[in-house]
Amino acid sequence: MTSLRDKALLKMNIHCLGRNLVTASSSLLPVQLPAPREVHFWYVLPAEVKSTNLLNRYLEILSPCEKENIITMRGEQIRKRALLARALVRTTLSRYQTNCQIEPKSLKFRKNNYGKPELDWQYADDWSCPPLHFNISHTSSLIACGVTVGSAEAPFVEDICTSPPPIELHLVLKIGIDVEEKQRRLKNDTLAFAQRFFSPLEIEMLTHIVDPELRLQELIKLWTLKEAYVKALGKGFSASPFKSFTVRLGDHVKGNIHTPPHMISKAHDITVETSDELKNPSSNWQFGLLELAGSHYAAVCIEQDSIDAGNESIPIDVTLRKTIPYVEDECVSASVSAVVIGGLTRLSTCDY
Amino acid sequence: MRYRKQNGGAKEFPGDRSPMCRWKRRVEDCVLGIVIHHQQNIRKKRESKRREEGRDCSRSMAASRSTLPLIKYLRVRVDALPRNSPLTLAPTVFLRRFCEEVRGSFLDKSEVADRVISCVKNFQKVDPAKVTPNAHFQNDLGLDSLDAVEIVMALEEEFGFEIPDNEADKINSIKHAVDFIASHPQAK
Repeated sequence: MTSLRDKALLKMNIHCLGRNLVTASSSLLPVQLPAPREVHFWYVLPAEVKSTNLLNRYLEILSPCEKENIITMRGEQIRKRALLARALVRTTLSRYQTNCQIEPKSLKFRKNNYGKPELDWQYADDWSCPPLHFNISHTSSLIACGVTVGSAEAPFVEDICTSPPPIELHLVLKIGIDVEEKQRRLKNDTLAFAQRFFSPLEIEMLTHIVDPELRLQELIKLWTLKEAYVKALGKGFSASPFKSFTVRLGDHVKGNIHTPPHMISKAHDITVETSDELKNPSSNWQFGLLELAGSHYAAVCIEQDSIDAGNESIPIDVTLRKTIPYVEDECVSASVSAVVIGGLTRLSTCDY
Repeated sequence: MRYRKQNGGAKEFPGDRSPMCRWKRRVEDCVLGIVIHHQQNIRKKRESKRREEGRDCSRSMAASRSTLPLIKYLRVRVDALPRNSPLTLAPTVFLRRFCEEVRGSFLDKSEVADRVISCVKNFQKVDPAKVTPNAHFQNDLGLDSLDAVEIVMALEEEFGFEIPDNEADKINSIKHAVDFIASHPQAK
Protein backbone atom coordinates (compact mmCIF):
# COMPACT_ATOMS: atom_id res chain seq x y z
CA MET A 1 0.00 0.00 0.00
CA THR A 2 2.62 2.55 1.06
CA SER A 3 5.00 1.60 -1.75
CA LEU A 4 2.35 2.36 -4.33
CA ARG A 5 1.72 5.73 -2.79
CA ASP A 6 5.42 6.62 -2.59
CA LYS A 7 5.91 5.61 -6.19
CA ALA A 8 3.03 7.78 -7.29
CA LEU A 9 4.27 10.67 -5.15
CA LEU A 10 7.71 10.51 -6.68
CA LYS A 11 6.40 10.43 -10.20
CA MET A 12 3.95 13.21 -9.45
CA ASN A 13 6.68 15.48 -8.16
CA ILE A 14 8.65 15.10 -11.36
CA HIS A 15 5.51 15.50 -13.38
CA CYS A 16 4.48 18.67 -11.53
CA LEU A 17 7.86 20.23 -12.15
CA GLY A 18 7.31 19.76 -15.84
CA ARG A 19 3.80 21.16 -15.65
CA ASN A 20 4.73 24.36 -13.88
CA LEU A 21 6.71 25.47 -16.88
CA VAL A 22 3.59 25.42 -19.03
CA THR A 23 0.55 27.62 -18.45
CA ALA A 24 -2.00 25.00 -17.65
CA SER A 25 -4.90 27.07 -16.40
CA SER A 26 -7.50 25.23 -18.41
CA SER A 27 -6.23 21.69 -18.06
CA LEU A 28 -6.53 19.32 -15.17
CA LEU A 29 -3.89 19.50 -12.50
CA PRO A 30 -2.87 16.12 -11.16
CA VAL A 31 -3.69 15.18 -7.61
CA GLN A 32 -2.07 12.84 -5.12
CA LEU A 33 -3.73 9.53 -4.53
CA PRO A 34 -5.75 9.13 -1.37
CA ALA A 35 -3.97 7.24 1.38
CA PRO A 36 -5.57 4.07 2.74
CA ARG A 37 -8.54 5.05 4.92
CA GLU A 38 -8.50 8.45 3.32
CA VAL A 39 -11.45 9.72 1.34
CA HIS A 40 -11.22 12.52 -1.18
CA PHE A 41 -14.54 14.31 -1.29
CA TRP A 42 -15.01 16.52 -4.34
CA TYR A 43 -18.05 18.65 -4.89
CA VAL A 44 -19.37 21.14 -7.39
CA LEU A 45 -22.17 23.67 -7.05
CA PRO A 46 -24.26 23.78 -10.26
CA ALA A 47 -25.22 27.38 -9.56
CA GLU A 48 -21.56 28.39 -9.99
CA VAL A 49 -21.24 26.85 -13.43
CA LYS A 50 -22.83 29.21 -15.91
CA SER A 51 -20.63 29.34 -18.98
CA THR A 52 -22.10 27.57 -22.00
CA ASN A 53 -18.61 27.02 -23.38
CA LEU A 54 -17.63 25.19 -20.26
CA LEU A 55 -20.74 23.02 -20.38
CA ASN A 56 -20.01 22.19 -23.99
CA ARG A 57 -16.49 21.23 -23.01
CA TYR A 58 -17.93 18.86 -20.43
CA LEU A 59 -20.21 17.37 -23.03
CA GLU A 60 -17.20 16.61 -25.22
CA ILE A 61 -15.51 14.40 -22.66
CA LEU A 62 -18.49 12.11 -22.19
CA SER A 63 -18.93 8.79 -23.90
CA PRO A 64 -21.54 8.59 -26.70
CA CYS A 65 -23.83 6.59 -24.44
CA GLU A 66 -23.69 9.17 -21.67
CA LYS A 67 -24.22 11.99 -24.15
CA GLU A 68 -27.33 10.34 -25.52
CA ASN A 69 -28.64 9.74 -22.04
CA ILE A 70 -28.29 13.39 -21.17
CA ILE A 71 -29.82 14.67 -24.38
CA THR A 72 -32.96 12.61 -23.80
CA MET A 73 -33.53 14.18 -20.39
CA ARG A 74 -36.16 16.85 -20.24
CA GLY A 75 -35.42 20.07 -18.41
CA GLU A 76 -32.38 22.27 -18.66
CA GLN A 77 -31.51 22.07 -14.96
CA ILE A 78 -31.87 18.30 -14.92
CA ARG A 79 -29.58 17.98 -17.96
CA LYS A 80 -27.05 20.36 -16.44
CA ARG A 81 -26.91 18.39 -13.20
CA ALA A 82 -26.49 15.07 -14.99
CA LEU A 83 -23.79 16.57 -17.19
CA LEU A 84 -21.91 18.01 -14.22
CA ALA A 85 -22.07 14.70 -12.40
CA ARG A 86 -20.49 12.77 -15.29
CA ALA A 87 -17.94 15.51 -15.94
CA LEU A 88 -16.99 15.61 -12.26
CA VAL A 89 -16.40 11.87 -12.13
CA ARG A 90 -14.39 11.71 -15.33
CA THR A 91 -12.21 14.73 -14.68
CA THR A 92 -11.60 13.84 -11.05
CA LEU A 93 -10.63 10.23 -11.66
CA SER A 94 -8.35 11.12 -14.55
CA ARG A 95 -6.38 13.45 -12.29
CA TYR A 96 -5.20 10.55 -10.17
CA GLN A 97 -3.54 8.82 -13.10
CA THR A 98 -0.30 10.61 -12.40
CA ASN A 99 1.92 8.17 -14.25
CA CYS A 100 -0.57 7.13 -16.90
CA GLN A 101 -1.73 10.39 -18.46
CA ILE A 102 -5.25 9.21 -19.10
CA GLU A 103 -7.67 11.53 -20.80
CA PRO A 104 -11.06 11.94 -19.07
CA LYS A 105 -12.76 10.83 -22.24
CA SER A 106 -10.92 7.53 -22.35
CA LEU A 107 -12.07 6.30 -18.96
CA LYS A 108 -14.44 3.38 -19.21
CA PHE A 109 -17.15 2.63 -16.74
CA ARG A 110 -19.31 -0.39 -16.18
CA LYS A 111 -22.03 -1.40 -13.80
CA ASN A 112 -21.88 -4.28 -11.40
CA ASN A 113 -24.67 -6.86 -11.33
CA TYR A 114 -26.83 -4.56 -9.25
CA GLY A 115 -26.32 -1.43 -11.31
CA LYS A 116 -23.61 0.28 -9.24
CA PRO A 117 -21.19 2.20 -11.50
CA GLU A 118 -17.51 1.20 -11.30
CA LEU A 119 -14.31 2.03 -13.09
CA ASP A 120 -13.56 -0.63 -15.67
CA TRP A 121 -9.93 -1.66 -15.49
CA GLN A 122 -10.00 -4.05 -18.40
CA TYR A 123 -8.88 -1.27 -20.68
CA ALA A 124 -6.13 0.18 -18.52
CA ASP A 125 -2.82 -0.38 -20.28
CA ASP A 126 -0.58 0.31 -17.34
CA TRP A 127 -1.15 -1.99 -14.39
CA SER A 128 0.44 0.41 -11.98
CA CYS A 129 -2.69 2.53 -12.23
CA PRO A 130 -4.22 2.66 -8.78
CA PRO A 131 -7.42 0.74 -8.04
CA LEU A 132 -9.71 3.70 -7.40
CA HIS A 133 -13.17 3.37 -6.00
CA PHE A 134 -15.73 6.13 -6.26
CA ASN A 135 -19.34 7.01 -5.59
CA ILE A 136 -21.49 9.95 -6.70
CA SER A 137 -24.41 11.70 -5.14
CA HIS A 138 -26.39 14.69 -6.30
CA THR A 139 -28.97 17.07 -5.01
CA SER A 140 -30.35 20.02 -6.93
CA SER A 141 -27.78 22.38 -5.45
CA LEU A 142 -24.69 20.21 -4.93
CA ILE A 143 -23.04 17.33 -6.76
CA ALA A 144 -20.45 15.27 -4.94
CA CYS A 145 -17.99 12.53 -5.74
CA GLY A 146 -16.09 10.54 -3.13
CA VAL A 147 -12.91 8.72 -4.08
CA THR A 148 -10.86 6.20 -2.18
CA VAL A 149 -8.15 3.78 -3.12
CA GLY A 150 -8.45 0.04 -2.79
CA SER A 151 -5.62 -2.13 -1.66
CA ALA A 152 -4.10 -4.42 -4.27
CA GLU A 153 -2.17 -6.44 -1.70
CA ALA A 154 -4.87 -7.24 0.82
CA PRO A 155 -6.78 -10.51 0.55
CA PHE A 156 -9.38 -10.48 -2.13
CA VAL A 157 -13.01 -10.74 -1.11
CA GLU A 158 -15.27 -11.39 -4.04
CA ASP A 159 -18.99 -11.23 -4.35
CA ILE A 160 -19.90 -14.63 -5.71
CA CYS A 161 -22.51 -13.17 -8.01
CA THR A 162 -20.04 -11.21 -10.14
CA SER A 163 -17.98 -12.93 -12.79
CA PRO A 164 -14.85 -10.87 -13.29
CA PRO A 165 -12.57 -11.15 -16.32
CA PRO A 166 -9.41 -13.24 -15.76
CA ILE A 167 -6.98 -10.39 -15.03
CA GLU A 168 -8.35 -7.73 -12.73
CA LEU A 169 -7.27 -5.59 -9.84
CA HIS A 170 -9.42 -6.62 -6.92
CA LEU A 171 -10.92 -3.81 -4.91
CA VAL A 172 -11.28 -4.37 -1.22
CA LEU A 173 -12.46 -1.03 0.04
CA LYS A 174 -15.93 0.14 -0.88
CA ILE A 175 -17.25 3.64 -0.62
CA GLY A 176 -20.69 5.15 -0.56
CA ILE A 177 -21.67 8.79 -0.17
CA ASP A 178 -24.90 10.71 0.02
CA VAL A 179 -25.69 14.39 0.24
CA GLU A 180 -28.96 16.03 1.16
CA GLU A 181 -30.09 19.59 1.73
CA LYS A 182 -30.42 20.46 5.40
CA GLN A 183 -33.57 22.46 4.81
CA ARG A 184 -35.32 19.71 2.93
CA ARG A 185 -39.03 19.37 3.56
CA LEU A 186 -40.78 16.04 3.56
CA LYS A 187 -44.21 15.68 2.03
CA ASN A 188 -45.20 13.17 4.70
CA ASP A 189 -45.14 13.53 8.46
CA THR A 190 -41.65 12.80 9.86
CA LEU A 191 -42.69 9.97 12.14
CA ALA A 192 -44.96 8.37 9.54
CA PHE A 193 -42.04 8.35 7.12
CA ALA A 194 -39.72 6.88 9.73
CA GLN A 195 -42.23 4.22 10.65
CA ARG A 196 -42.51 3.12 7.06
CA PHE A 197 -38.80 2.94 6.26
CA PHE A 198 -36.61 2.96 9.36
CA SER A 199 -35.78 0.24 11.85
CA PRO A 200 -37.53 0.06 15.26
CA LEU A 201 -34.55 1.44 17.22
CA GLU A 202 -34.24 4.40 14.90
CA ILE A 203 -37.97 5.11 15.13
CA GLU A 204 -37.65 5.03 18.90
CA MET A 205 -34.75 7.48 18.81
CA LEU A 206 -36.70 9.86 16.58
CA THR A 207 -39.83 9.59 18.70
CA HIS A 208 -37.90 10.82 21.71
CA ILE A 209 -37.08 14.09 19.95
CA VAL A 210 -39.79 16.57 20.77
CA ASP A 211 -38.96 19.52 18.52
CA PRO A 212 -40.28 18.76 15.00
CA GLU A 213 -37.53 20.74 13.23
CA LEU A 214 -34.83 18.91 15.12
CA ARG A 215 -36.55 15.62 14.44
CA LEU A 216 -36.61 16.31 10.72
CA GLN A 217 -32.91 17.18 10.77
CA GLU A 218 -32.07 13.95 12.58
CA LEU A 219 -34.17 12.05 10.09
CA ILE A 220 -32.30 13.60 7.19
CA LYS A 221 -28.97 12.76 8.83
CA LEU A 222 -30.07 9.17 9.35
CA TRP A 223 -31.29 9.00 5.80
CA THR A 224 -27.97 10.16 4.35
CA LEU A 225 -26.05 7.66 6.48
CA LYS A 226 -28.32 4.78 5.53
CA GLU A 227 -28.23 5.71 1.88
CA ALA A 228 -24.41 5.96 1.98
CA TYR A 229 -24.23 2.48 3.53
CA VAL A 230 -26.52 0.93 0.92
CA LYS A 231 -24.60 2.60 -1.88
CA ALA A 232 -21.32 1.36 -0.42
CA LEU A 233 -22.69 -2.17 -0.32
CA GLY A 234 -23.53 -1.74 -3.98
CA LYS A 235 -26.45 -4.13 -4.14
CA GLY A 236 -29.34 -1.72 -4.34
CA PHE A 237 -32.13 -0.67 -2.05
CA SER A 238 -33.90 -4.01 -2.26
CA ALA A 239 -30.91 -6.12 -1.12
CA SER A 240 -30.58 -4.17 2.10
CA PRO A 241 -33.95 -2.63 2.88
CA PHE A 242 -33.67 0.28 5.23
CA LYS A 243 -35.66 -1.56 7.86
CA SER A 244 -33.09 -4.35 8.05
CA PHE A 245 -30.28 -2.33 9.62
CA THR A 246 -29.92 0.29 12.32
CA VAL A 247 -27.54 3.23 12.25
CA ARG A 248 -26.66 4.66 15.62
CA LEU A 249 -25.53 8.25 15.64
CA GLY A 250 -23.58 8.30 18.87
CA ASP A 251 -22.88 11.57 20.66
CA HIS A 252 -22.60 14.65 18.56
CA VAL A 253 -19.30 16.42 18.22
CA LYS A 254 -20.15 19.93 19.33
CA GLY A 255 -18.54 23.14 18.21
CA ASN A 256 -17.05 24.34 14.97
CA ILE A 257 -13.42 23.67 15.69
CA HIS A 258 -11.50 20.86 14.11
CA THR A 259 -11.33 18.33 16.89
CA PRO A 260 -7.82 17.08 17.62
CA PRO A 261 -7.42 13.32 17.18
CA HIS A 262 -7.04 12.52 20.85
CA MET A 263 -10.39 14.09 21.61
CA ILE A 264 -12.32 11.91 19.21
CA SER A 265 -13.53 9.10 21.37
CA LYS A 266 -15.57 6.05 20.60
CA ALA A 267 -18.62 7.87 21.92
CA HIS A 268 -18.66 9.91 18.73
CA ASP A 269 -18.69 6.91 16.53
CA ILE A 270 -21.51 6.15 14.15
CA THR A 271 -22.15 2.45 13.95
CA VAL A 272 -24.39 0.18 11.98
CA GLU A 273 -26.06 -3.02 13.16
CA THR A 274 -27.40 -5.38 10.59
CA SER A 275 -29.80 -8.24 11.06
CA ASP A 276 -27.55 -10.42 8.93
CA GLU A 277 -24.18 -10.23 10.68
CA LEU A 278 -22.61 -13.05 8.69
CA LYS A 279 -23.01 -11.42 5.30
CA ASN A 280 -22.17 -7.87 6.27
CA PRO A 281 -20.30 -7.77 9.57
CA SER A 282 -21.02 -4.42 11.11
CA SER A 283 -17.49 -3.94 12.45
CA ASN A 284 -16.16 -3.50 8.92
CA TRP A 285 -18.00 -0.28 8.23
CA GLN A 286 -17.01 3.24 9.14
CA PHE A 287 -19.06 6.39 8.76
CA GLY A 288 -18.49 10.09 8.65
CA LEU A 289 -21.10 12.84 8.67
CA LEU A 290 -20.25 16.35 7.54
CA GLU A 291 -22.07 19.63 7.25
CA LEU A 292 -21.10 21.51 4.09
CA ALA A 293 -21.47 25.25 3.68
CA GLY A 294 -24.14 25.25 6.36
CA SER A 295 -26.63 23.98 3.81
CA HIS A 296 -25.97 20.30 3.18
CA TYR A 297 -25.39 17.11 5.08
CA ALA A 298 -22.89 14.74 3.52
CA ALA A 299 -22.46 11.17 4.69
CA VAL A 300 -19.49 9.00 3.82
CA CYS A 301 -19.34 5.26 4.41
CA ILE A 302 -16.33 3.06 3.77
CA GLU A 303 -15.62 -0.59 4.29
CA GLN A 304 -12.50 -1.24 6.29
CA ASP A 305 -9.70 -3.46 5.20
CA SER A 306 -10.30 -6.75 7.00
CA ILE A 307 -6.77 -6.61 8.43
CA ASP A 308 -7.61 -3.43 10.31
CA ALA A 309 -11.06 -4.51 11.37
CA GLY A 310 -10.05 -5.01 14.97
CA ASN A 311 -8.63 -1.51 15.35
CA GLU A 312 -11.75 0.60 15.30
CA SER A 313 -10.47 3.82 16.77
CA ILE A 314 -8.55 5.03 13.72
CA PRO A 315 -10.57 7.83 12.19
CA ILE A 316 -11.26 8.33 8.50
CA ASP A 317 -9.42 11.30 6.99
CA VAL A 318 -11.56 13.28 4.61
CA THR A 319 -10.01 15.77 2.21
CA LEU A 320 -12.65 18.19 1.04
CA ARG A 321 -12.33 20.01 -2.28
CA LYS A 322 -14.80 22.34 -3.92
CA THR A 323 -14.18 22.31 -7.63
CA ILE A 324 -15.23 23.48 -11.04
CA PRO A 325 -13.61 21.04 -13.48
CA TYR A 326 -11.11 22.73 -15.82
CA VAL A 327 -11.44 25.98 -13.92
CA GLU A 328 -10.43 25.84 -10.29
CA ASP A 329 -10.16 23.80 -7.11
CA GLU A 330 -10.48 25.02 -3.61
CA CYS A 331 -9.36 22.97 -0.68
CA VAL A 332 -11.94 23.34 2.06
CA SER A 333 -10.58 22.93 5.53
CA ALA A 334 -12.44 22.67 8.79
CA SER A 335 -14.20 25.97 9.30
CA VAL A 336 -17.69 27.38 9.26
CA SER A 337 -18.16 26.01 5.78
CA ALA A 338 -17.20 22.44 6.65
CA VAL A 339 -17.80 20.73 9.96
CA VAL A 340 -17.63 17.14 11.04
CA ILE A 341 -20.82 16.42 12.92
CA GLY A 342 -20.61 12.70 13.43
CA GLY A 343 -18.47 9.63 13.15
CA LEU A 344 -14.77 9.01 13.65
CA THR A 345 -13.74 11.43 10.96
CA ARG A 346 -11.21 14.21 10.56
CA LEU A 347 -11.00 16.88 7.94
CA SER A 348 -7.47 16.96 6.57
CA THR A 349 -5.64 19.59 4.63
CA CYS A 350 -4.90 18.92 1.00
CA ASP A 351 -1.39 18.06 -0.18
CA TYR A 352 -1.28 18.62 -3.87
CA MET B 1 -87.90 -15.20 5.89
CA ARG B 2 -85.22 -13.59 3.76
CA TYR B 3 -87.20 -10.95 1.96
CA ARG B 4 -89.78 -8.40 3.02
CA LYS B 5 -93.30 -9.32 2.03
CA GLN B 6 -95.14 -6.90 -0.20
CA ASN B 7 -98.90 -6.45 0.23
CA GLY B 8 -100.70 -8.73 -2.15
CA GLY B 9 -97.50 -10.30 -3.37
CA ALA B 10 -96.85 -13.94 -3.68
CA LYS B 11 -95.84 -15.37 -0.34
CA GLU B 12 -92.74 -17.45 0.11
CA PHE B 13 -92.77 -20.29 2.54
CA PRO B 14 -89.68 -20.72 4.72
CA GLY B 15 -87.43 -23.51 3.61
CA ASP B 16 -88.96 -23.55 0.16
CA ARG B 17 -86.42 -25.43 -1.89
CA SER B 18 -88.24 -25.60 -5.18
CA PRO B 19 -86.09 -25.04 -8.29
CA MET B 20 -88.03 -21.84 -8.99
CA CYS B 21 -87.13 -20.36 -5.58
CA ARG B 22 -83.52 -21.45 -5.84
CA TRP B 23 -83.26 -19.90 -9.29
CA LYS B 24 -84.92 -16.73 -8.10
CA ARG B 25 -82.53 -16.38 -5.15
CA ARG B 26 -79.52 -16.95 -7.41
CA VAL B 27 -80.64 -14.24 -9.82
CA GLU B 28 -81.28 -11.83 -6.97
CA ASP B 29 -77.80 -12.47 -5.51
CA CYS B 30 -76.11 -11.81 -8.81
CA VAL B 31 -78.07 -8.66 -9.51
CA LEU B 32 -77.29 -7.49 -5.98
CA GLY B 33 -73.63 -8.14 -6.69
CA ILE B 34 -73.79 -6.01 -9.83
CA VAL B 35 -75.49 -3.15 -8.01
CA ILE B 36 -73.02 -3.18 -5.12
CA HIS B 37 -70.06 -3.27 -7.51
CA HIS B 38 -71.53 -0.36 -9.44
CA GLN B 39 -72.00 1.62 -6.24
CA GLN B 40 -68.41 0.97 -5.19
CA ASN B 41 -67.16 2.22 -8.56
CA ILE B 42 -69.18 5.40 -8.24
CA ARG B 43 -67.84 5.89 -4.74
CA LYS B 44 -64.24 5.39 -5.89
CA LYS B 45 -64.64 7.84 -8.75
CA ARG B 46 -66.11 10.42 -6.41
CA GLU B 47 -63.26 9.96 -3.94
CA SER B 48 -60.58 10.33 -6.56
CA LYS B 49 -62.34 13.38 -7.96
CA ARG B 50 -62.51 14.90 -4.50
CA ARG B 51 -58.87 14.11 -3.86
CA GLU B 52 -57.96 15.92 -7.05
CA GLU B 53 -59.89 18.94 -5.89
CA GLY B 54 -57.82 18.86 -2.74
CA ARG B 55 -60.47 17.91 -0.23
CA ASP B 56 -59.76 15.81 2.83
CA CYS B 57 -59.93 12.11 1.92
CA SER B 58 -61.39 10.75 5.12
CA ARG B 59 -64.11 13.36 5.14
CA SER B 60 -65.20 12.45 1.63
CA MET B 61 -65.22 8.74 2.35
CA ALA B 62 -67.39 9.23 5.41
CA ALA B 63 -69.67 11.54 3.46
CA SER B 64 -70.02 9.13 0.56
CA ARG B 65 -70.80 6.31 2.90
CA SER B 66 -73.69 8.26 4.38
CA THR B 67 -75.09 9.53 1.08
CA LEU B 68 -75.11 6.16 -0.67
CA PRO B 69 -77.14 3.78 1.40
CA LEU B 70 -76.45 0.21 0.50
CA ILE B 71 -79.40 -1.55 -0.96
CA LYS B 72 -80.03 -4.45 1.36
CA TYR B 73 -83.30 -5.77 0.12
CA LEU B 74 -84.28 -6.47 -3.41
CA ARG B 75 -87.27 -8.01 -5.10
CA VAL B 76 -86.88 -9.36 -8.57
CA ARG B 77 -89.82 -10.48 -10.62
CA VAL B 78 -89.11 -13.73 -12.34
CA ASP B 79 -91.45 -15.51 -14.69
CA ALA B 80 -91.41 -19.28 -14.69
CA LEU B 81 -89.72 -20.86 -17.66
CA PRO B 82 -90.85 -24.18 -19.18
CA ARG B 83 -88.98 -27.01 -17.53
CA ASN B 84 -87.35 -28.35 -20.62
CA SER B 85 -86.36 -25.02 -22.07
CA PRO B 86 -82.81 -24.94 -23.45
CA LEU B 87 -82.31 -21.57 -21.75
CA THR B 88 -82.44 -22.88 -18.17
CA LEU B 89 -78.66 -23.28 -17.87
CA ALA B 90 -77.40 -20.46 -20.11
CA PRO B 91 -78.67 -17.40 -18.11
CA THR B 92 -77.04 -18.73 -14.91
CA VAL B 93 -73.70 -19.00 -16.62
CA PHE B 94 -74.14 -15.60 -18.25
CA LEU B 95 -75.09 -13.80 -15.04
CA ARG B 96 -72.46 -15.49 -12.85
CA ARG B 97 -69.75 -13.67 -14.73
CA PHE B 98 -70.93 -10.40 -13.23
CA CYS B 99 -70.71 -11.62 -9.66
CA GLU B 100 -68.06 -9.86 -7.59
CA GLU B 101 -66.22 -12.90 -6.34
CA VAL B 102 -65.78 -14.45 -9.77
CA ARG B 103 -64.53 -11.34 -11.60
CA GLY B 104 -61.52 -10.69 -9.32
CA SER B 105 -60.33 -7.32 -8.02
CA PHE B 106 -57.77 -5.96 -10.50
CA LEU B 107 -58.15 -2.27 -11.18
CA ASP B 108 -58.63 -0.86 -14.61
CA LYS B 109 -55.28 0.34 -16.04
CA SER B 110 -56.46 3.72 -17.29
CA GLU B 111 -58.04 4.46 -13.92
CA VAL B 112 -54.77 3.52 -12.21
CA ALA B 113 -52.82 5.76 -14.60
CA ASP B 114 -55.08 8.75 -13.83
CA ARG B 115 -54.74 8.23 -10.11
CA VAL B 116 -50.96 7.75 -10.23
CA ILE B 117 -50.52 10.88 -12.35
CA SER B 118 -52.64 13.01 -10.03
CA CYS B 119 -50.71 11.61 -7.03
CA VAL B 120 -47.37 12.60 -8.57
CA LYS B 121 -48.66 16.00 -9.67
CA ASN B 122 -49.47 16.73 -6.03
CA PHE B 123 -45.76 16.76 -5.23
CA GLN B 124 -44.54 20.29 -4.63
CA LYS B 125 -41.19 19.67 -6.30
CA VAL B 126 -42.75 18.43 -9.50
CA ASP B 127 -43.72 20.60 -12.45
CA PRO B 128 -47.25 19.31 -13.27
CA ALA B 129 -46.74 20.05 -16.96
CA LYS B 130 -43.96 17.45 -17.15
CA VAL B 131 -45.96 14.62 -15.62
CA THR B 132 -46.85 12.46 -18.60
CA PRO B 133 -47.67 8.75 -18.66
CA ASN B 134 -44.08 8.03 -19.73
CA ALA B 135 -42.30 10.39 -17.34
CA HIS B 136 -39.19 9.07 -15.61
CA PHE B 137 -38.85 10.26 -12.01
CA GLN B 138 -35.15 11.06 -12.18
CA ASN B 139 -34.55 11.97 -15.82
CA ASP B 140 -37.75 13.87 -16.57
CA LEU B 141 -39.02 15.11 -13.24
CA GLY B 142 -35.67 15.68 -11.52
CA LEU B 143 -36.53 13.68 -8.41
CA ASP B 144 -33.93 12.03 -6.19
CA SER B 145 -34.00 8.86 -4.11
CA LEU B 146 -35.76 10.45 -1.13
CA ASP B 147 -38.46 11.86 -3.43
CA ALA B 148 -38.92 8.49 -5.11
CA VAL B 149 -39.46 6.90 -1.72
CA GLU B 150 -42.00 9.58 -0.81
CA ILE B 151 -43.85 8.90 -4.04
CA VAL B 152 -43.99 5.20 -3.15
CA MET B 153 -45.50 6.16 0.21
CA ALA B 154 -48.07 8.38 -1.47
CA LEU B 155 -49.02 5.58 -3.88
CA GLU B 156 -49.40 3.15 -0.99
CA GLU B 157 -51.78 5.60 0.67
CA GLU B 158 -53.75 6.15 -2.52
CA PHE B 159 -54.15 2.49 -3.39
CA GLY B 160 -54.37 1.12 0.12
CA PHE B 161 -51.67 -1.58 0.09
CA GLU B 162 -48.00 -1.84 1.03
CA ILE B 163 -45.49 -2.01 -1.81
CA PRO B 164 -42.62 -4.38 -0.90
CA ASP B 165 -39.11 -2.86 -0.93
CA ASN B 166 -37.78 -4.98 -3.78
CA GLU B 167 -40.65 -3.76 -5.98
CA ALA B 168 -40.38 -0.17 -4.74
CA ASP B 169 -36.77 -0.18 -5.91
CA LYS B 170 -37.88 -0.77 -9.50
CA ILE B 171 -40.58 1.91 -9.58
CA ASN B 172 -38.67 4.75 -11.19
CA SER B 173 -41.22 6.02 -13.68
CA ILE B 174 -44.97 6.58 -13.99
CA LYS B 175 -45.25 3.64 -16.37
CA HIS B 176 -43.59 1.24 -13.91
CA ALA B 177 -45.87 2.41 -11.12
CA VAL B 178 -48.99 1.96 -13.25
CA ASP B 179 -47.96 -1.48 -14.52
CA PHE B 180 -47.16 -2.70 -11.03
CA ILE B 181 -50.31 -1.41 -9.38
CA ALA B 182 -52.63 -2.54 -12.17
CA SER B 183 -51.27 -6.08 -11.84
CA HIS B 184 -51.55 -6.19 -8.07
CA PRO B 185 -54.82 -7.67 -6.78
CA GLN B 186 -54.60 -5.90 -3.43
CA ALA B 187 -54.76 -2.44 -4.98
CA LYS B 188 -57.99 -0.67 -4.10
